[in-house]
Amino acid sequence: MDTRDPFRENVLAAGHRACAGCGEAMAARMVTDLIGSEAIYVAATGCLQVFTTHNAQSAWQVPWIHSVFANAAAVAAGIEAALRARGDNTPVVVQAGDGGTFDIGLQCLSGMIERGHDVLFVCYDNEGYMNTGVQRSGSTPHAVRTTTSPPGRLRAGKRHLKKDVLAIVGAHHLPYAATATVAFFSDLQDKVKKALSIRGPRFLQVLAPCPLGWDHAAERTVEVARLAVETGLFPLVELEYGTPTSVMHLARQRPVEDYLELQGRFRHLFASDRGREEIRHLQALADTHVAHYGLLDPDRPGATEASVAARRHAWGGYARPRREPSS
Amino acid sequence: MATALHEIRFHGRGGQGSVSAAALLSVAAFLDGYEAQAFPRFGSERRGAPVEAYVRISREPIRRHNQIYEPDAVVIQDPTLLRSENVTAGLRDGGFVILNGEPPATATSSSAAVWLGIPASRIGRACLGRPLPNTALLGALAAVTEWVSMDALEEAVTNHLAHKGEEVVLGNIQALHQGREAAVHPGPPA
Amino acid sequence: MRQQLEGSHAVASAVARCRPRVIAAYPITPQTHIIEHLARMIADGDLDSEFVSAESEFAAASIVLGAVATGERAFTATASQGLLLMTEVLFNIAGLRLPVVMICANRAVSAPISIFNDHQDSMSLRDAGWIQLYVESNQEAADTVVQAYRIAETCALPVMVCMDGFFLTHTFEPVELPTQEEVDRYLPPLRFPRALNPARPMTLGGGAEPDNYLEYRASQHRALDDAAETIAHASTEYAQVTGRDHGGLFEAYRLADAHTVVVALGSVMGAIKDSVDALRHQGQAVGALRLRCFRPFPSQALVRALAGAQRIVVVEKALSAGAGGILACELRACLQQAGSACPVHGFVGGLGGRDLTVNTLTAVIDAAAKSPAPACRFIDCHETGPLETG
Repeated sequence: MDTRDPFRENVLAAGHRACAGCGEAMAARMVTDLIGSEAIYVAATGCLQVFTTHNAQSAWQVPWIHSVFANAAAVAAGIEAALRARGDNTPVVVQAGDGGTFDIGLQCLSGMIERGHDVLFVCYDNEGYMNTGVQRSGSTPHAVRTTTSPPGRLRAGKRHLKKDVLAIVGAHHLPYAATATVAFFSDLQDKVKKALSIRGPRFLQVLAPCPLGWDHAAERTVEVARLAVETGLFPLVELEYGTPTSVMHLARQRPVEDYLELQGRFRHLFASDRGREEIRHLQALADTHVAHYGLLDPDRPGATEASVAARRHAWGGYARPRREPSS
Repeated sequence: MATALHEIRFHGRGGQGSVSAAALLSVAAFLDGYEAQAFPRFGSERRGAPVEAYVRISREPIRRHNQIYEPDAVVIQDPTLLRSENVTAGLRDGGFVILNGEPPATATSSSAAVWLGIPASRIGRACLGRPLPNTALLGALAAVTEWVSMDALEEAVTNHLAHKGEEVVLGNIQALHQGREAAVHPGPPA
Repeated sequence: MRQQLEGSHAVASAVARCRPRVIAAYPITPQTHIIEHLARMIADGDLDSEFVSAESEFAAASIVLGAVATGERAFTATASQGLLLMTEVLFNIAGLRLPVVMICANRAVSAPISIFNDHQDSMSLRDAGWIQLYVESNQEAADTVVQAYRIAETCALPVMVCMDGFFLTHTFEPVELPTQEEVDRYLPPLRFPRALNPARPMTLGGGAEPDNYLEYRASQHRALDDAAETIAHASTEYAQVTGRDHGGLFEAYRLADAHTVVVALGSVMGAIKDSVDALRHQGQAVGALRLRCFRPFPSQALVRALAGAQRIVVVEKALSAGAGGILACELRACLQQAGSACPVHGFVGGLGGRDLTVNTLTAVIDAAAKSPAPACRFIDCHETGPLETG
């Protein structure tokens, strides 16, 4: 039974229950419209799943499945295996939050990549467990206020660094991994298109500000995302077989305060010496990203065609040819 | 308190403090020496979603943990809910409807309920800098029902909001009193 | 001093007073406020404990396993999906006879996904070898978690305290917290003789063969059976220290001369008591029994308590799909084993947070006196009317 609304063309139809200004809703709409309706979508438990499929209603105009929190990548692997068995090339796309990617979902993600499944895994990263009430995740940057990393007499927010999941994923030497965000749509568009043109496991980490959890004005979502990039805190990069092959260069690096001061989750850092020390740490982190990826240096040589080809040859096996359709 | 049990249902949207308002009311009733219970009904964390919260106030220990189907009073924190939710469902005859805004014409003329419109968002903006209606509505509820005292509400607000600083506490106490005033001496329409 | 507290806050404060050294958890509605309060206490220096934000519930359970195996008191809390994800580790903890204490903020299980209350989660773990205690109120929750440490550490068995999600965790009601001094008097420091320690090396978690595995399981079963006495004692001794007694293995309500007895677990008992009073007012000899301890299943005590009943009405919030109500099934078995022919009316209701109102419960109990006992009926099931034939 075709339940699609003939008047709504988006993969993700309007009328879902996201908060005003939700970065994840924005990102999901962008990404899925680029992918289109000829695909099978697998969701991990999280904000997107909750606000699009509440109580006998669905905003998805595509085949869509949600199982449990940890297993989206494994479910996708199973779907891909079944499609492969019958020679069907329909794309398989996972949509997970940072919880379903960095933490509880990491095992299945790793397994899916290691086995070379032809799955596009998209992580909408809002840096916390938001719909359960803003608890910290492995993706939460350090010094952030969450309900399980509250600032107090002895603490200045989350003690541990944001997990570098791109590096973890990249260490699997998968064909393609990239970071993107809602503030730079054409960059996101290029990356989705590139991901769709490649076979094998692919990974996109899309930074998606959360007005509720990050405590910023709902109309400033895009601005906040832009500043994450322009400070160097969230570099936009592409990895092929684990090697960075392109970055979005910055014309200038904005100081991290420009980003922090828009968000209540960092407010405590401006109220004490200890907090200000953490701001310096965050600045150092941003500077490290800038240096590591050469964000201010447009002339820095990246990987050459030859070196990427060599890696592809070395780690090859991902680009398995599709079986021909059986009849 | 004449009757044994008072049941109050709050209707609001996520982010408006309906759950806090219910909790505060129960704390105030407790401070007044009653048995009190408050709990919410909502889904996941989300700004703007309709939420309900329930309060029971009694002289006797309250054992049941059910939702409230026949409230003695309904507090509506967001007037847009009148269009989409059946906010007065089950309201007992003579029950109070404390609304943030102007009661619709149909309400005041035809129902057995006692409607009271309070410019709670305006009071919130004036006292707190943001249109948070809940403490003003609590002041109004206390005024018309006398189920809880202003002293107890003040104490509850002071303790509950202490961690947000003295300015926030004082602003909320001001809002409590202005809400009460608005109920007792209704001014021109908001 | 009595205070108006949210259930989550009350239990978190009670846990803090038990001086756990390691707290590990993964957020899941409706447990979140419990762990947030603990995080807040630690951040403010009011609780000296290691707070470990685990990457999943499987990890959280594993972390408290490791902590207790090292001889330190620990705590975790979860619900629903999280509890199921912990399953392998929970069986493991019980088999290792580690005194771990946790709170299960009872919630329905997926699919379909629901954040609301029922008992399917903890009921699905009834075979894991954990002691399971179900509480009716936030007061009882706070008191029982303290008792749980005493019971666990005396019996070397893990204890799961089950409190209804939202109905208790998110409800503000009056609670008198045990004082630090009372808890210290009641709960001595953990002494775990098998702790991992270079000075006294021990191997935990070795293998077994067909010629000895059965004996491990039999001894575990016996330990659980024997724990019933410890559970009852822990409750009376707690009452001596604090003055508060919630019953040991079960709580009887107007049971003495009751012809119809309602048996249930958890906070629904509040509405059941109101129903019982309403029916008594109409002259019906109705009473109720709240089972506080579900594992071990206190067969003998139940048979004695229910000896005078002419019929038993079980109202439960879980089922074994394809078989029927779980509590009803176990109750029928123990009554039959004791030679009792008392009919047990099995009702399953309140699933996924469906409200069990006083009116509904009164109708169910009232009808029981006039109808034959159904094996398993759903209360308030919309598909086929108020009482569905099962």
